[in-house]
Amino acid sequence: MAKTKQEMDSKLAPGEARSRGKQIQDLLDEETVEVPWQLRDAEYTYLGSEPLDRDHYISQEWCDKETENLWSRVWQLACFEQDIPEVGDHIVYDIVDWSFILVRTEPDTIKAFYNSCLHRGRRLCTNELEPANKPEFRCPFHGITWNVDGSLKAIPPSIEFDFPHVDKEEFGLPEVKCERWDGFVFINIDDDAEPLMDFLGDITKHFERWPFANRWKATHSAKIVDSNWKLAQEAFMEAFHVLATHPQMSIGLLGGDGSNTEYNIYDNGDANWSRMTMAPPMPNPNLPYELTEQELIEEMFFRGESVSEMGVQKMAGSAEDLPEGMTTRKLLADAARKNGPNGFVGGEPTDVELTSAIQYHIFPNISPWPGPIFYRHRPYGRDPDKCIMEIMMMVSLPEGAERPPAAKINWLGPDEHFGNIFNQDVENVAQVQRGLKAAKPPGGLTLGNYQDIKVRWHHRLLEKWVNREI
Amino acid sequence: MIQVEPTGVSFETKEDETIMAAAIRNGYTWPTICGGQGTCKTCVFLTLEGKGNLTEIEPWEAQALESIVDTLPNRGQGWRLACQAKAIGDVRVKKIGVRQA
Repeated sequence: MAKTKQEMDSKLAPGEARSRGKQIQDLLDEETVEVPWQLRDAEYTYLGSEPLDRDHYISQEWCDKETENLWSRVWQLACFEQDIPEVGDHIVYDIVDWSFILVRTEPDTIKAFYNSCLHRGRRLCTNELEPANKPEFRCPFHGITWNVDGSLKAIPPSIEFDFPHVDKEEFGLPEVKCERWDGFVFINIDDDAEPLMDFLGDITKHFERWPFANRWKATHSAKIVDSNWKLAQEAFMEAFHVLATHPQMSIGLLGGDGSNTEYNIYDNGDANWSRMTMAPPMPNPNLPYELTEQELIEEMFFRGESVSEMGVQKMAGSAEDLPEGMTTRKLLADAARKNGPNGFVGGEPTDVELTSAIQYHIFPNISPWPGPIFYRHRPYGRDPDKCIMEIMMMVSLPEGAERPPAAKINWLGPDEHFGNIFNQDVENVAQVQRGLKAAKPPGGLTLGNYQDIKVRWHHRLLEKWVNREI
Repeated sequence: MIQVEPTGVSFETKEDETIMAAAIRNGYTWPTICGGQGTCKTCVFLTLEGKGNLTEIEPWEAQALESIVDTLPNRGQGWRLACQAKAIGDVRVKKIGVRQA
């Protein structure tokens, strides 16, 4: 295996080499407020350099194995509690061939039922992911009706004579396991699954700093993307594609090009969650000479904008008005502080939290951020070449503010886009899907030891699930 | 003659030499990550005077500029890549980070 120059020079073990410049932990050393322990909990384990099997993305057989061995028994996000706030509210969650109805049966009880009529099997609810309040679930085919708590309400009198063999007490809708954490509603198709909190592990402690339960789902967009669900998700599992894929994010001098991102996997890669933290704007370590902070600030005002948390921020004022020793990241952090509530719990927000994109992943398919962005990626039926990509904005509200109704899902058409940056990712992953099929067999993929660790982590866990080692 | 603000650095370019290459040959820094391939867009500068004294924008540079147009003031008007543009006369530009190497 070829070594980088840095590895050869210093005889670093594989996975120990890092990009030039300050690392996230160095930046935390410079914080002027107390650093939450979550940011210091920064594990990484080298998981080898073996090629990644491209069949994971393109093979129908592998896709079917995922259905049978992963989706059939893994905890997965079905909806948010705020999607169904009132008793009787329900929402449909579809995954591969399955469909479930999530319904609030009592003020603090949510149940999940198989979305299939017990008579002839028709889907009872077809308003996919659209919340609605109903007094009952009535099958549109022959009219058999269930109460929202799943118990049988009525077989229509005109056809009831034909079902003397039905025990009405036993004819309730079958339930699927449903458990909640911090405003999230998960389901698990496996009746013998471990408790959700055991599956999630210590990520629940991390998010005590950035809780979700009181956030507001302000937007929810979905799009059918021409790539495997894992490829679309992996666009957000490493950041070093930013320089080439999103040149408008790096703005050259300012960094923000994905360099110096910290990648974390936990419990030697066995934890069902991981994290990456992108470096905030600072002198780009990849320039052939060292840029000063003053030059960086001049650039920011000259260009009139800068990059923070995946977005371009307009800058007002001038560099001359700033106190001595000011840095771009401090400037951006102070601007973010003035922007209002951030929802952080326990201590003042650090500059890193305010200026870096911190992205967690929970296996297999959701990505909660301490910031407002949230992703979910699902397979599109059993088609390995397509997926459903969803982006939500989970906004923290000022203390005491009433939460507006959660946004309903907005399906984007083929010619509609999430936005400039995301569109570049969508175009990219569609080309990767095609390129993977164009590769000369066996076409194993060569991953970076450190910066691709989340990709390797995800596939390693996936293989264990598919092979029933978990 | 190329004059670069705000530092006021100035240097001559040779025929068929890009502005970035001329700066480096004359002992000045010019921000780049890709080293002049026209891919990183880090070398982008604003033309203050003498726009007509720069070579025409070729398709490769046009595509690169288009990809970052949202981050350029004035919708990218007057912005060029120093690793692609060549001068055929006097030009005054603005680029942060150009100074004695």
